[in-house]
Amino acid sequence: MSAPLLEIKNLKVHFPVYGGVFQRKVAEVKAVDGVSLTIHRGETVGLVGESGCGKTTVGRALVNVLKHVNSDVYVDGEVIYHATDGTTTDLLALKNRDLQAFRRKIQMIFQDPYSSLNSRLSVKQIIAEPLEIHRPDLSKSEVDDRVRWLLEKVGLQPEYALRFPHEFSGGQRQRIGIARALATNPELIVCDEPVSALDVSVQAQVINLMEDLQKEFGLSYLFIAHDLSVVYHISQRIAVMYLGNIVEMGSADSVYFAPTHPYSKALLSAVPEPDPLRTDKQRIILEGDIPTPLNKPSGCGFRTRCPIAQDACAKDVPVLQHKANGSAVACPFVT
Amino acid sequence: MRPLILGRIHVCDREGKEKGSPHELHKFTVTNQALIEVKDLKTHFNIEGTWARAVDGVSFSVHAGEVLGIVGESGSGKSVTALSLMRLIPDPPGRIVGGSVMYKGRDLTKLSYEEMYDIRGKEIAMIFQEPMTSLNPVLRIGNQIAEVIMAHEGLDEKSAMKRSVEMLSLVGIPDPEKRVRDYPHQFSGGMRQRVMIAIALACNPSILIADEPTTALDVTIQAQILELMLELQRKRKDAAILLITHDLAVVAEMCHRVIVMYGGKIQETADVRTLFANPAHPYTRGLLNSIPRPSKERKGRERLQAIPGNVPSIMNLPTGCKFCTRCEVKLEKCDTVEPDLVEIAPGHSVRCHLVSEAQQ
Amino acid sequence: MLQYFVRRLLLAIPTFFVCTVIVFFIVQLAPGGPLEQQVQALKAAAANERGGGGGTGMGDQAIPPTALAELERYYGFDKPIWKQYLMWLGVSPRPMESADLPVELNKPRQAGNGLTVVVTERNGTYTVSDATSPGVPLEGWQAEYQRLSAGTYQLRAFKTEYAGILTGFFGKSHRYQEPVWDLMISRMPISLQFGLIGIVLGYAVSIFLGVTKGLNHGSRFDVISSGVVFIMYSIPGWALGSVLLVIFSTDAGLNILPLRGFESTDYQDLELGSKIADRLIHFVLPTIAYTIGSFATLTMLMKNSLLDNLGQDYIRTAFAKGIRESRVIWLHAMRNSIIPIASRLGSLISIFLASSYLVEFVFGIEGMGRLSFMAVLTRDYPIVFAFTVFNVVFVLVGAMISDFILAMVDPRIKFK
Repeated sequence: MSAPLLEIKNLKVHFPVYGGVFQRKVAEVKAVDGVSLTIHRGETVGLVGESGCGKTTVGRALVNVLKHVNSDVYVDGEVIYHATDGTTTDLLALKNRDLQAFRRKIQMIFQDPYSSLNSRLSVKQIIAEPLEIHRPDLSKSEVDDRVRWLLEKVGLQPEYALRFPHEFSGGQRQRIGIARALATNPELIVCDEPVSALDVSVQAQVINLMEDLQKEFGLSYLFIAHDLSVVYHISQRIAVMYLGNIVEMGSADSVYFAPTHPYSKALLSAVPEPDPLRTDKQRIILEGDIPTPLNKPSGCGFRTRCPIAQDACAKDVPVLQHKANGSAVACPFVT
Repeated sequence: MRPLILGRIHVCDREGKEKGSPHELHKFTVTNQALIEVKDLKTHFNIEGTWARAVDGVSFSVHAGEVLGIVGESGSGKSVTALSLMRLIPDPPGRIVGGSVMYKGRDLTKLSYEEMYDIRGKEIAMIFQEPMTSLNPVLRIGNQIAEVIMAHEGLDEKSAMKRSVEMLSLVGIPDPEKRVRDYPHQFSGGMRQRVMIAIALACNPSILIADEPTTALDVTIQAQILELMLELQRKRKDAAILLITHDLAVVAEMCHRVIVMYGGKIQETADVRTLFANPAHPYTRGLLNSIPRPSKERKGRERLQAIPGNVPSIMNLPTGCKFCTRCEVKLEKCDTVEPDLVEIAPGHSVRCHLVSEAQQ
Repeated sequence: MLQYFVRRLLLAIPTFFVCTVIVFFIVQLAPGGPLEQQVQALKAAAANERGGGGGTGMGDQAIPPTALAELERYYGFDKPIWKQYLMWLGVSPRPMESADLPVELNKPRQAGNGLTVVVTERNGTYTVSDATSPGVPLEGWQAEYQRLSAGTYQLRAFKTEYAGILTGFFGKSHRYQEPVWDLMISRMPISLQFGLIGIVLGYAVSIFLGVTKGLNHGSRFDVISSGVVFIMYSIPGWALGSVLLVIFSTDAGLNILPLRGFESTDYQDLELGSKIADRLIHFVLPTIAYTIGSFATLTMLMKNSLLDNLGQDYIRTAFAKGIRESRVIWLHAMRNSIIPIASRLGSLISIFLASSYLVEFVFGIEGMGRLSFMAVLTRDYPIVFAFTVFNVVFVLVGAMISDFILAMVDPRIKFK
C-alpha cells in the first residue's frame, strides 16, 4: 500500500441540542462517535451507510468547516496530514489561519449539482474563486489559462467559461464542481454523494472522469455514497458506518462479497441487483428504522435491529478488531 | 442452498421457495386478459407557447397479476404516463391530446371529471416518490386513510377508522391503534411510504401505480418496502402493479415485464429476463452497461461504458430517433426518420432502425 | 411548550424595560418639552396683556424664576432623569401633588385635612412632624430644599407615595389634567369598533378574495382584483375620507351622511334603536376610510399561501385518492393555507389601540389616534409613555398569542 495521506484517529463530532427555559445545551447528537480511518495517497476509500449514520459529517469534519459554523459543535480526535517529506500535522489542532495552507490540499464536491454552484457567478468565476484565495500570486491571465485548462480536463469546452450554471445539465454541473475542486491542486477530494442526483446514463460519465483524474493527478478520494455498487466500483477500500461508528472496514472485495458484521451483511443483501437471473441471492430484511443518533442505544448501536444481538451487546461499544486479511469488524460475535 | 435464517430477520430467496418471488410468475403469459390497455397515449405540455411532447404515442397493457416496470431517466415521460392514466396531469399546462386508456370497457381519457373520482383510489391507486411530502402534514394519519375508505365504500367514520387500523397493521406498522392518531411528521420516511401504501390499498384497487416508490429511501428501507409491495401483490392475483423507476436493479428484482422509455416514447419492451439478457435497443444496452455490476468472477474493475452526452430536454427533442444524439451506432436516417416499434420476438419490441433492418 | 412560553414571558420583561427606558430618555432629551411650552404660553399671555406691543427684550423677565421652579417641580423635572424613570415606574417615591407645600424651618403650617406640619432640623437632617409633637417624624412625609434660582432655595415639606405604571398608575395628562387611564378608557369604544370592524371585514374579504383569486390564478378576475386591491392599498385613508365627505356629507354632494363626530349631539336622548342607527350612520364613512388599505397584504398572503399549497405533493395524493375537488381544496389545501393567516391573529389584541390620527381628524372623532398624536405634539409625556407601555405589552403578548395559535393549528410546530 502506498504512503498514508490522511490519518483520522478517533474522530468525534457531537452537535448540541438546546432546550429548557434558558435554551441551554440539554443533549448532544453524536453524529460521529469515534471514527478512525486512514486514507492513502492515490487511494479511494468508500464510506457507506444509511441516512443519519454520520458519513457526511466525517467528510465535512475533514474539510473542517463544522468548527467555524457553530463553536458549540464538539470536535475531538486527530486528523493527521502526512506530507510527502514525512512531516505530520494534526489539522484539528490548527487555528483557522494556519489551516489555510492545508485547506487547498483537501477539497470537496457535493451531491446536488444544482444548489452547490452559485447561480449568479459565471463558470469562470466559480472555478477561479478558490484560486484567488489560495493562489493570490497568479496573474489574471494565468488564472484564465488555468480555468480553461481545468475545463478541458473535466471534459467541458473552454468556451463554457463565460456561461452560468443554469445553462448546464446536472452532469455538466457536476463536472464544473469537480473543476472547482481541482483548481487548487488538491491531494484529497471528499466526494459527498457525487453521482446520486444524476441521471443513470450520466452517472457513468462522472465516475469515469473521476477515475481518469485520479490516475492523472494521483488524487485520493473519500467517496461518500449510499449506492453500494457505485462505491464498490470506484473504491479500493470500503468502510461501513452505522450510527456514528465504523462497523466494518476492509478491501472493497472483502466488504462487498464477504461482509461479516451483521449490519454490513443486511445492508449488502438489501442492495437490489440488476440481474433477474441471479437466484442464489439471499435477502436479509432488517426490521424497523435506524434509531436517531440523539437517542443512541447503549453499547453497540446496531443491537436493536441486530439478529444476533446478545445481552452483552448493551454494555460496551464494540471496537474494530483487525483481522489477518487487513479488514476490521466491530462485532465480537462474528469471525 | 438453504436460506439463511437469522433471528428476527425474515428471508426470502430468489427461487421463491420461502415466500414466493415474482420470478416464479415468469411463466406468466401475455394471453392473460389485460386489466388496462393504453393506446397511442399522447400527453403534451404547453411551455411558454410551444407544446412539449412529454408522452408521445405510448401503447401498452397491464395484465392481471403482473408487475410491469417502466424505466427511464428524467424527461423520459415515465411519470407523465403514470399521471395520465390517473388523469392527474395539471391542466394547464399539460393536456392529454390523444389516445385512449381502456379500463373495464371504458376509456378513462373520455370520462368526465366526476366519473374519474370513482376510478381514482378505488380502481387505480397511486403512490409517489416523496413520502415526506405526499401526506398532508396537518391531518392525522388515521383520517387520511379513513378519508379514502369513506369516499369510495360509503362507510361511516367509525368503521372507516377501524379499517384504517387494519390497513396500518397490514402494511406492518407496529402499534396501529395508537399510530392512527399520529401526524405524518411523527413517522420516518419508510413508515410514511407504508402509510401511502395503506392508503393506496385501502379500497382494494385493481392496479397500483408506484412512481419511484423507494427512490427517496435508504437501501435497507427500500428492501422492506419492495418486499411489502410484492407480498401484498401475491395476495391478489387479479391485481397488478405498474412500477415506475429509474433503477434497473429495482426493475430486475420486482418486475415481470419492462418498458424502457426515452424522449416520451417506448424504445423497447420485453419480459425482464429477455431485456437484461438480450437488450436490443442501443439505449437499453447503454444503460445496462453504464451501471456498475459488482461480480466476484470479474476480477479488477472494468471501466464503465458511459453513454455520451446528456439527456435531451423534452423541449428540444430530435425529429428522428429520440436517442440519435447520443447513439454510437446510429444510421444516417436516424436523424430524420423516427423508427417504429417493431416486435422482433414474441413480447419483445424495439424501436430502432438498426434492429429492424437486421430483422429483414 | 409550557417551557417555551415561560421563556417568552421571562424574555418579555427585559424587552419591556429596554423599550420603556429608550422611549423615556429619548423623548425627554428632545428639546421643547412641556415646560418650554408652558413658558411660551405664559410669554404669549404676558405679551397679550401688554397690548401686543411689548418689547421682546422683556420676555425673559416675564416669567419669574420662582414660577419656573414651581413648574419644574410640578412636572417632576427638578429630579435627575433616572430618578424620574424610577418614579414613573413606581419603585421610587414621588411627592404627592395634594400634599406638597413650601414651609419655613420651625414654622408650623397648615397641610390640609386639619393637619399642621412643622419642619425641624437636627445635624443637617430635616424632620417633618405634626405641629403638636415637633421632632417626632410624621409617617410618609419628607422635607427638602428646592433650588429656585442662583442662591435662592425654598424648603418644602411633602408627603410621598409610590405611584407608577407598576402600581397601575399611568400618571396625569399634562394637557388635560386628567388621569391618563381615564382618557384612554373613554376613547377605547371608538378604537374597539374601528378595530373589530376592520379586522372582521379585513379577514372576511381577504380570505374570500384570496381563495377565489388562488383558484382562478391568472384569470381576468385575478388580475383585475389584484389591481383594485393595490389601488385601494395606495389610497391614503384620510384622502379618501375627505373625498367621501364631500360626496356624501356636504350640500355640494348627496348630503345623506353626517359630516363629523362619532355620534349626534342629541345621542344621549335617543331611544336604543335610534342610538344604534345613529352610531352606524356616523360609522360608515370613517370605517371605509379606515379599512381601505387593509385588504392587500392579507389577500395576497391568502392567495399565495393557497397557490403554494395547491402545488404540494399531498394535494396530488388527495386527488389520486379520488377525493372530490371541493374537499381537496377546502379541507386539504385550506387547512394548510390558513396557517400563516391564523398565526397573525395574535396582533388582534392591538384593536384596543386601533386608531388613525388622520382619519379621526378628518371625521372629527375623538379617538386614540388623536389622543396619542396630540400627546406627542404637546409633549404630554404621561400619555406618550402610556401608549408606549400598551404598545410594547400588546406586541409582546400578541406575538405569544400568535405562537400559541400556530402551535394549535400546525401539529408540526412544537415550541421548545
